[in-house]
Amino acid sequence: MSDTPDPGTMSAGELIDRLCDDFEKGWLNHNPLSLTDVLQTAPESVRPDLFRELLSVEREYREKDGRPLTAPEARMRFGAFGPWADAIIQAILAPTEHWDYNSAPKPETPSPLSQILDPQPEKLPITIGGFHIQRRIGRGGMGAVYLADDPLGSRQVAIKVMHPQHAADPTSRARFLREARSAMAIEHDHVVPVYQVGVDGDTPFLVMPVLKGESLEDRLTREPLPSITLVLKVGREMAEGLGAAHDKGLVHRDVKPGNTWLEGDPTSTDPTVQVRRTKVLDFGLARTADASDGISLSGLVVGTPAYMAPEQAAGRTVDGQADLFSLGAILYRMTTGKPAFDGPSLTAVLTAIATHTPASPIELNPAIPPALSELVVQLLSKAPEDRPESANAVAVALEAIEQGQPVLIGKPRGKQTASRLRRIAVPAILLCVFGGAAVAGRLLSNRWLGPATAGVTDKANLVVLVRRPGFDPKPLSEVVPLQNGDSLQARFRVAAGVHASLGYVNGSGRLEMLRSFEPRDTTYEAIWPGSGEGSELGPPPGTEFLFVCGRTDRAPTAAELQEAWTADAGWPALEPAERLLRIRPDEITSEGAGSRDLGKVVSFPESDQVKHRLEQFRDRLRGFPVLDGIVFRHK
Amino acid sequence: MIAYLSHDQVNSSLARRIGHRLGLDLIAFTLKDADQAVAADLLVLDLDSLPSDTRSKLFLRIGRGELRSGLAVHSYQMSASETRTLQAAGIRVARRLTAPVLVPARSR
Repeated sequence: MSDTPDPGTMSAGELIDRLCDDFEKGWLNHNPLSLTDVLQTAPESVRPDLFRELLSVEREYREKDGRPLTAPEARMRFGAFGPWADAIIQAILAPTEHWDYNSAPKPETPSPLSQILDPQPEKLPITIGGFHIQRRIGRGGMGAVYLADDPLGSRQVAIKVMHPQHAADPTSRARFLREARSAMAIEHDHVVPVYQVGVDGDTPFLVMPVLKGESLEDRLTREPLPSITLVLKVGREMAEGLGAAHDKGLVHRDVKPGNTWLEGDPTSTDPTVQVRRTKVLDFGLARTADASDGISLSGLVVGTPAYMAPEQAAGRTVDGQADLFSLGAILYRMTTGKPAFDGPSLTAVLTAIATHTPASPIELNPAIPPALSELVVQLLSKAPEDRPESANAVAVALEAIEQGQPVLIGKPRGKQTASRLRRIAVPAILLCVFGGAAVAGRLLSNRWLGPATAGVTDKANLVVLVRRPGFDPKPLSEVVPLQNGDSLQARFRVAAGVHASLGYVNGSGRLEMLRSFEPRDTTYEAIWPGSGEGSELGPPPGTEFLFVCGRTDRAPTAAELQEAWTADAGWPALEPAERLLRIRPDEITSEGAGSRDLGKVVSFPESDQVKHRLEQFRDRLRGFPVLDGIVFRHK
Repeated sequence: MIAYLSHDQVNSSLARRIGHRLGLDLIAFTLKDADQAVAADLLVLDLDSLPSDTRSKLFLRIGRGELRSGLAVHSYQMSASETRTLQAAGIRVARRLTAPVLVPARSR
């Protein structure tokens, strides 16, 4: 990011917003910041815009305090900034008229303003595609929905018409029609069918049945915590509908309560009549004119992307796993009464989606079945490969929960390629995986290790730190239990355009580079200890830490990493013989470990200098422009 | 379509930037070409830059119940009672132009 943002750029706007928010907070806390000081923190290029905003804020709060800010005072304080400041002072602090709405209304003065403020008569089309339009029944970002009579029969249908401004774009129109025709191919009880797709003049439209009932959004607005019976029914039926579409290669991309229909009679007192069936709406129709899979959803539909998968919010390629994340977010809301990801702004919500791990639903609502809570947690995994393998698997799991049967949740796809456990002595190892946004370092977790001997805790026992460009690093608390004899395997993909280097810290605390990777999209596997087969990436004996770092311009040098690694002299000495064996997260003590402690439960405190050292190392690696890393410690 | 009505170039530019960032179909107008804003789904008014009678026209129409739907305003010069009146009429009110003025806080 440039230090002097162009005022016309988004970054300048965001900087101004942030500084104004901070300035306003000071006024709200009765401890205002100096306007001059705030202004001087900003690059000169944005100061006029920023000054205008800050002055307006101060003007407002001074008026509320009964100490109005006058133009002469402002000139005295800020005139030194230049003529531009004087012009802004004149514009902001010049006397204005205030309308007292309690007084008699002033005579109407004809003006263009009157025209646009007057209520606009509804202009309904007469027919669309031969269907006679009765009235509008809905409006969304993509278009309007009308109730219409089918000229060939006695039924009424719903006709969705694309907004003219979207229809005017040939790419948008072609995509709308292509995906609407794909949606027609889905015949499933839990997907709203599309009867017909066509073009009327220049306007694409599609014909659907008229739906009786209400949207899930409306239901949750009325009843934030529905019964578990309803949650399981809706979740299962949604998963079945999504599964049918995914089987045909169609991804929804906008699964949310507003796009979920509860067919039935909401006014009935009989729950089975209230909600007869769940149907997913608008399959494949939520994509927009700009074809982005990111946050640029069309028109007024954009609000907070509270149900959007991280990969989608980041603009990466999405598949059905993104729909599963969204389903998980819906189930989270249905079981806890609150959204999984929330914030006061779009940016805050996106940040939460990328970095925040919400509390498990059962922590907020102990009444829900543990299996359901676990399923929701898995659906909300940041990495798509950590989510259940398919919508159909989710449907099966929800049905099992409904029937009180044991639940087998589909394993993440990574499980299928994990190596079997080998029982070989393992020294302390730190594995950091960094790279471009597309690097997907694989965590070594329970799902990789599989069961060992009886009595081994199932809880993960690796401290994981994740950082993605643009967001503050957040430590994840997953830890993986490792026993004496466990092997460490990491699989990571270095994306095209990322220069990566694999480094390790040897028994002397010296950082060495093992090898560099070509900037092409390839998956690598690091196994320790190496077996001679595919172990070319395995570090030599005595290795204590292993990591991969990446940059987009060139591979990181050993000198750069060494400097970051050794900058803090407080690094504790680690002897190869030291091993931490079974570790349970709930038993953290300050005990060290040596070979004499084999087989015992050993642990270390949260404030252990090792963790502190890791934090500092991670902080120093912020200087790398490309950093999407996973740091974890295996000891 | 979102119509942003302002005579302030800075705010108009900001509105376009926000609209581009959020992928909105937003067009910034002045009163000279306000007729194009008639069909907008959402009309956003920068009250501080528009003629002083804009406010009076708003409240007049609120009083008569003859105000168009889909309206949002922003102004630093709004009293608490004016704000309440506008909000009661279903108008989104803010002090300055930010993304939430142009889109709802939560999607449906």
